[in-house]
Amino acid sequence: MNPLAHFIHHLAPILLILMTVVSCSQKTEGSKIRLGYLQNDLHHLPAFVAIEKGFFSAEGISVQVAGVFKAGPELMSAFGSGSLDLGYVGQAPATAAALNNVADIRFIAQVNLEGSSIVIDKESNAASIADLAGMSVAIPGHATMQDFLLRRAVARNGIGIERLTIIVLKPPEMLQALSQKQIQAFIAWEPYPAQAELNGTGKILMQSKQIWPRHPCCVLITSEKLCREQTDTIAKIRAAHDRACTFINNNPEEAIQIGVSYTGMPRDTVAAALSRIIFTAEIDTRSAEEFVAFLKELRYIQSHAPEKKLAEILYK
Amino acid sequence: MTARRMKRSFLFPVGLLILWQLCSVLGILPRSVIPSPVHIIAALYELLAEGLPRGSTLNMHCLYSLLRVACGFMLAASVGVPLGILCGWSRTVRDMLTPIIETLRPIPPLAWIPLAILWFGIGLTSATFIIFLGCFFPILLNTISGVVSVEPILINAARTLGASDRQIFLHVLLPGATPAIYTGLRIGLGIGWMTLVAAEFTGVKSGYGLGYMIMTARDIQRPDLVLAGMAVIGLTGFLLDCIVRLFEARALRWRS
Repeated sequence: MNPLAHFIHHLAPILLILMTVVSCSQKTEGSKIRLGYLQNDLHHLPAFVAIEKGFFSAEGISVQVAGVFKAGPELMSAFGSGSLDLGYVGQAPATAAALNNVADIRFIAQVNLEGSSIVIDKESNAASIADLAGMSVAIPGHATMQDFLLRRAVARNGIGIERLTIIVLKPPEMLQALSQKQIQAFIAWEPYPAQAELNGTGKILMQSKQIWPRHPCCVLITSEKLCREQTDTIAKIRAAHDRACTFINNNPEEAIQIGVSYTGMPRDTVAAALSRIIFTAEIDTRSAEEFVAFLKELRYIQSHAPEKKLAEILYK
Repeated sequence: MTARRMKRSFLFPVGLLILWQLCSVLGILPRSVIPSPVHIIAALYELLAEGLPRGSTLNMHCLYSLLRVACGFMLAASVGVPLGILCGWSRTVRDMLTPIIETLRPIPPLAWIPLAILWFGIGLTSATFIIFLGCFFPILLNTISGVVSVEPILINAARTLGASDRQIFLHVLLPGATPAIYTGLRIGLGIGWMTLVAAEFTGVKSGYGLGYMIMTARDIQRPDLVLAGMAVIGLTGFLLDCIVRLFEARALRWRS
C-alpha cells in the first residue's frame, strides 16, 4: 500500500466517526427545544422563572438547557452553527449577528427594557456625565447597548466620546478594576452596577432609563427554521415567556429568590438589580430601528438594507 | 532550501487557498460560517483602511501586539534560559523546582487573567505577565532538556583533558544545549502569540492590539474580520519564527 493510501485507510474511519458525532450533536434531540442564555445575567430572569415554575412544560413544550454562555456573541455563534433553537440574549449581539448574516434568527419577544447604569468610583466627585471627561470608562464591548447608551449620554452633555478613555472590559472585571482605581467609571448591565453599589466600590452616576427611557436590552430569539416550521411551538414559547414576565412583575419576592438561586448573588444585590429592570414581552419596533441606525452609523453591519432586514427578523 | 522544496512549500498552501475559494464560490462553505480567502483579503483591506474599532487601524494593532509579545517573550527568555541551565546543571535545584514547575505548567494563561488584573492592573504589565506565562515553560523545559542531554562522555573527556568547571560549562555544556534552547525559544515565541488574545482580554488601555481587534470583530459578529486578524497573527508569528531560525542557523554554524 502506498503511503497516501495507507494514510487515507487509517484516517477514513476517524473522519467517519467525527462526522457522525458532529451530525448527531447538530440535531434536536426528539422534539426538545434547545435553549441558551447568559450566565449570571439577571436580564434573563424570565428564562429562569419559566424553567423553575414549569411554564414551558405547562404549554406542552419540552425545553432543554443546551448552553449557558459567558457572552452574547458566543451564544449567537452557537445559533449560527445550528446548536440552539431558542435563546435569551442581548439585542445588540442578536442584531449584529442577524444583520451580518451569521445566524438566521427571528426576534419573537422582548425580554427586558432598561437595566444598565453608569457607575463611578465611590469617592468620585463627578456629578454629571460632563464630569466623565478625561476619565477612563469601561464598556463591555463595542457596538453593545451600553456602548450606545454611553455615546448618547456623552453627546447629550456636549462632550465628544474622544474626551473619554474607553476601555473594553468584561463586567466582572470592571468591579475589580474600579476598586483598584484602574478605571474611574464603567457602564454595565445588572447585576454588576448593584454589586458595585452594595459592596461599596462604586455609586451610580446615571441609570440607563435617564439616558434612553424604556430602551430595549435583551430579546428572545429563535431560529428562522423553527419559526417557519413550527408556528404553534412559537406561540407556546411566547405564551410561557409572557407568563414568566407577568410572574416576575406580580411576585417580586419569589422572582428575587429565583434570581438568587440562579446567580448565587446576595438577595440585596438581586433585589436592587431587579428594581432597575423592566420585564416585558412586547417588542418596540422603533427602538429596534434606532439601534440598527447606530450600528449602521458606526459601519458595523454589512447588510446593504439593514432596515429591511430588521423588518424580516422581527417576528409578527 | 532547494528550489524544488521552496516550490513545494509555496504551491501546496496556494493550492489549498484556491480549493478553499472554489468551495466558497460553489457554496460548499457558506460565507457566514467560513468566509472565502477573497473576503478575508477584503477584510484585511477594511482593517487597514477603516480600522476596528473604526479609526484604530491594523498597523497600530500590530505594533502594540508586537510590543506586548516582545516584552513577555524577552522576560520569559531572560528568566527561563538561565533558570533552565541552572536546573539542568544542578540536580538539587532541579529536584527542588520540578514539583513547582509541573504544578504551574498545566494552568492555562486564561485562568490567570483575574489575578493578572488584580496584581498588575490593566495595561502592558498584566498583558506581559500573561504572555510571559505562555512563553516561559517551553523555554525552561527545553533548556533543562538541552543541558541534561549533553553526552556525559563529552563532559568526562573535557575533564580528563584538564578543563575547569567554568570551561566545561562555557565550551561543552552551553554549545551542546544551544539547539534545544533555540527550539524552546521558537516554541515559546509561538505560544506567546497564542496567548496574545488572552493577554489582551485583560483590558487594553491604548485601544490597540490584534487580540483586542479580534474580540471587537467577535462582538460585532464579523467572522471575516476575525479570520483576517487571525491571519495577521499567524503570518507575524511565522515571520518571527523565520527570524529566530536565522539566528539559530548563525549560532549553530559550528555544527555544519
